[in-house]
Amino acid sequence: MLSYYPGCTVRAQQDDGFEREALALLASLDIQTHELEEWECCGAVYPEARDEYVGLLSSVRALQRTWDAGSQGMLTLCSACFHVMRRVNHRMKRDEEAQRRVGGYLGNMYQGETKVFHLLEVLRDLVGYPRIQEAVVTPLKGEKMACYYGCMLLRPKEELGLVDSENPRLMEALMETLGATTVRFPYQTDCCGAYHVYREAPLAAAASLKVITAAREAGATQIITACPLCKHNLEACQASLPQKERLPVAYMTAPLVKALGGVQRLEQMAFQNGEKGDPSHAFSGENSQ
Amino acid sequence: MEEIRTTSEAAPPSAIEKESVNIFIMGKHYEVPASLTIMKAFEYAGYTLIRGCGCRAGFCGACSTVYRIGNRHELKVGLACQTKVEEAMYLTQIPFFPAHQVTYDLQELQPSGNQVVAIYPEITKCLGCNSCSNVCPQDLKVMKYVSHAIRGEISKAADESFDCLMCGLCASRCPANIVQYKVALLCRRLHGKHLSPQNSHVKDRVAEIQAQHYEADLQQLMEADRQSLAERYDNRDIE
Repeated sequence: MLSYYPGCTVRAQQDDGFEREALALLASLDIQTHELEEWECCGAVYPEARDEYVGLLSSVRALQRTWDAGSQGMLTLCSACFHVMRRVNHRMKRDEEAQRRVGGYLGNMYQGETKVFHLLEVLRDLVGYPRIQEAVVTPLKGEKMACYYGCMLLRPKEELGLVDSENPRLMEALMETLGATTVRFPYQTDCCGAYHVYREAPLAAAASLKVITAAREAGATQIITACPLCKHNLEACQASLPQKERLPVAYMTAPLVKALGGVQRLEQMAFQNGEKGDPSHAFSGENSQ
Repeated sequence: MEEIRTTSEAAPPSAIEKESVNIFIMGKHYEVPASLTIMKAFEYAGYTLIRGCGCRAGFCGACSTVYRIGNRHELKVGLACQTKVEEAMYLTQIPFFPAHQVTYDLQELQPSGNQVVAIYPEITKCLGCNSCSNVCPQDLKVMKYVSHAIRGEISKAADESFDCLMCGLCASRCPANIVQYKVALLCRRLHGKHLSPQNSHVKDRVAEIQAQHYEADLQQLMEADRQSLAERYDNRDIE
């Protein structure tokens, strides 16, 4: 069982399907998830200041709760949440001063024991590509995927250690498992412009458009990402382009779910297997009446 | 624990069970009966409470008190009408906290997280320090409901904050200047107005009353004499 940390953006924008698709996917592949009973914003940006400890509190609290739940680790979907959780965990393992200060305030002795997973990692390490390949019902023939990583999944390599940060092939391997072709394109690991979109929108748009253009020139039919902010920027920068020049942007779960027969089928499978995990949250919007 | 002795040991009366305790109201020493609540102790000491005092029954949240005991460093909080005085209690009432407040028209609002952030943008500055939950005299998970509000889980925020008395102590401790209890009130209002299922019974009944459906029955009751009213009362349906 994995303790699921949704993150604010994934939850607030649940209508875009990232959360529903990811949970249905995992449940259909026999990975149980259980949403943490209480969780707060991870801070969205890792606190770089070495002498400020408040920014670590909410992440450490969630990591500690995951540990207390006795689960295999923490599941994250958003690459920013993954980034912050993994780095905070990395710091809590090594930084005795942080252990003392954060532990003193929270009344615990957290030392980085929890394992933090990104969804991509769960699919690679806990499920395995052969298992996914078996589950494919509609191979993605003819799709040319541009897999965009951005920053948060990759850097700093020493702290995140997810994959080769200069030449990541993680999403590619997954997409090829589904029968899709992937394209190599420059700027795959460049920044999308991130939060500059709020203060310096043209700067963010330029950075994102560079990524889109490169992917299009490499022949991509769509571009996928695991990051809500990257997705937003990659979409926003194309708003002024004519419709036929736009490159569709999707979460990395969308092609997976499509190849495995659609989200409703996956949910049904999970339900029939009794592997639904926690029914109170997994497939339903919280405020829907 | 060393203060607890049995009477057979003939301990001095002061050590058995203290009938009075020493408290310090805004730094000034008073000796008051140990059985009193903070609010009654104030009055025993001669204060007249015209602010920071309401229902006297633990519901209205007007009488939040901050106190500390003896040499201990922790600040504690409680409702003055619900908390008993203790030996060496240093205390003060918070008659008013100048919290930020927004006027809005509920009819025009959308039940979404963006709406709450538009009205109270400071909620996104939550640092996760949990001071609000730690201070809440109702033991609410204040930080949790603020988190729900941030991510648009309006109904969950409404539910989690349901027992809030709006004493305002959470806001007094927040390093991000969030006014948690007003955010909670907004969420409960949004839930009640826009998210909870509409109750058709009330609407139907109001329509019936407006259509003078019960006029004849009411008229009959008004014209009835005392004896037939008594009969009807005695033979009424009791659920």
